[in-house]
Amino acid sequence: MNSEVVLQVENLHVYYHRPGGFFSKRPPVMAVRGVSFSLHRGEVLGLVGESGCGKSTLARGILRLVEPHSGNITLLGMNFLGLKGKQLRQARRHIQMVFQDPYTSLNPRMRAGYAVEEPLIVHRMGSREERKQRVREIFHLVGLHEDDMAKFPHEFSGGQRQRIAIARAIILNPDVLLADEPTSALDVSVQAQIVNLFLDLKERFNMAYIFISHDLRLIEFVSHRIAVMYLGQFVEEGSTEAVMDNPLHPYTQALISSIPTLDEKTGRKKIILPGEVPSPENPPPGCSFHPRCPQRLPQCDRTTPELKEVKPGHKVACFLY
Amino acid sequence: MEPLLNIRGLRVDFNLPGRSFSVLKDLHISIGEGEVLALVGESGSGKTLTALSIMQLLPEGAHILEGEIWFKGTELTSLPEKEMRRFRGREIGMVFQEPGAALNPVFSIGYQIAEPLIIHYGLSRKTAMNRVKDIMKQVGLPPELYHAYPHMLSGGQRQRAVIGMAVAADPSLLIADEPTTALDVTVEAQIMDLFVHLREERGLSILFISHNIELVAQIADIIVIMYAGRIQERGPINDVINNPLHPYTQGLMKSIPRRGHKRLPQIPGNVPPLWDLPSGCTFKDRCKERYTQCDQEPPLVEIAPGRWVRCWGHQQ
Repeated sequence: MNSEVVLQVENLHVYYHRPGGFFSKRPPVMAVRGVSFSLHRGEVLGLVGESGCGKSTLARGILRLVEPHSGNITLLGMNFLGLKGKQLRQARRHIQMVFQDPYTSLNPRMRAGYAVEEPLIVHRMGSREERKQRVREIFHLVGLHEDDMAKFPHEFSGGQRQRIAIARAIILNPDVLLADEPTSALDVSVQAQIVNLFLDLKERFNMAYIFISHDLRLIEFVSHRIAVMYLGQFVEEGSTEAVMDNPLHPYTQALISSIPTLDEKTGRKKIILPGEVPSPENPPPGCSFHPRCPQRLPQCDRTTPELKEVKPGHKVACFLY
Repeated sequence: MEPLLNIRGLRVDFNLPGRSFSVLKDLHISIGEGEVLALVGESGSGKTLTALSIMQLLPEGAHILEGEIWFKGTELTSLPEKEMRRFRGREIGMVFQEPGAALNPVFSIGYQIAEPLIIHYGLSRKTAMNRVKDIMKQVGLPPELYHAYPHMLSGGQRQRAVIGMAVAADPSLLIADEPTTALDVTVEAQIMDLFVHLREERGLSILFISHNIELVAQIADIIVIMYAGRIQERGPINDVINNPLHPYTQGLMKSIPRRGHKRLPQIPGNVPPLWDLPSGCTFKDRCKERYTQCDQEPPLVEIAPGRWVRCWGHQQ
């Protein structure tokens, strides 16, 4: 793998302010609380966690679709959070996103060909003929037919619509692609096609992905590295082999043991956690996971463990280590 | 022995302005006492409509054209609505995918679990209360939540309440339609655990509907694979998982992500809409196999005891 870092995120905090008026004392929801990681060219970082853990907010914060509260984002050496106006627009060419729901992420009144061409128009790239040519190439690459360019989103199936969304995201040749649950809304028999498309395109264009999913097995399949999120923080991060074969955090261990598999009878013990993920509006003090943790220590409800490297390249935020 | 539920040759059509088409065809399903049968398929495969046919709650425009549904010696499709009410809730309980939508926001959790007892057994609210608290304990809800309203509960607790409602009147069959799909993985594990307990403690028969083969493998005895409104394969769960016969089942099993694969083996194409199915075998356009008869619809045949498949590649 190439060692060039394309994206570096340091101590990122993303907060949501809640409506309540000027005199409201409601504190903001701290959806992402101090996340740091770096992403190398051609690498896939899998982000896994349950609903409300902040994985989508993290992606939106990185793209500045939600303005982060604090922290640093370095994209290809640029201070991405410091960019404004035209510079920001130009930098966004290098980082694109594919959303979960291909039914809502496409404009129903826009023909597929135009939806894919639009980013080129926004960035004033190429002549009309060159743009059309490029759209034809991309349609071909994502497995759509040239005739599909004139169709409207409702004429496509879910899988085809996701192909259009992917075409739109990669037409500018981005260095980083964020994919937020890109197969969750699709039929099971179509999911594999879209996952394969992501992998093929990555090989071809040497993009780096942040692949977000609640499906740990899919994450295991596509990722080089895995980060596990719980209530706005990374609780574990490491190579796919390290995290899946030797999970350190009690939450990761429970998560892996809850995946239904067909080799159930091979003696794997299920760890059933009590309770559910608490609301990010009011995270527990100390380690956020302590109320559900089967291996809680006395200090866990008071002090927050730092994410630290306990083995080469394998980080965990837990007092057990 | 007569099975608890026996569906024979069911066909359901949708009549919409301008077009009508079959959504279920040639459906045969039987569930014995204490048995768990899993119905697995993608959206539009007909799994939810099967459940709604049993409950006689088909949406507007859907009609049963052929077939019979026998439940404990009664044929349900010819039953007047008034009689059917004795079965819903009392004999057959149902759990839906979205617990939020299955609960009434203006009634307390306790009252909603008590309702089947009040309606079917004529208990008063007061006498029902103790029974309800027992049921709440059984489904893992603290009895203190008796007076709580649905919005005060988490997603997992709401699904526990819905399961409590479904089993309150002590039905012999529970229909669970994607009961964990809206839940997080760690909560899904809790709810699956609850189903396993309920089955063991109450000897419940369960019709478990899901799109996830690995999930149903944790609880089912028998698995039925559906595609385009038809059963494609049926058999004991371990047989089907270890030796899938239908090319569709084989494709589904192979496309489960596993580490070490460079690419995921995929099924080409898309699920066809029910109003525009290919003629003959409904899977033929996406199938890796090709037989001379694929332009005719293959029958569902039993190739070994309890082992059924609808494919020209398996007709002796």
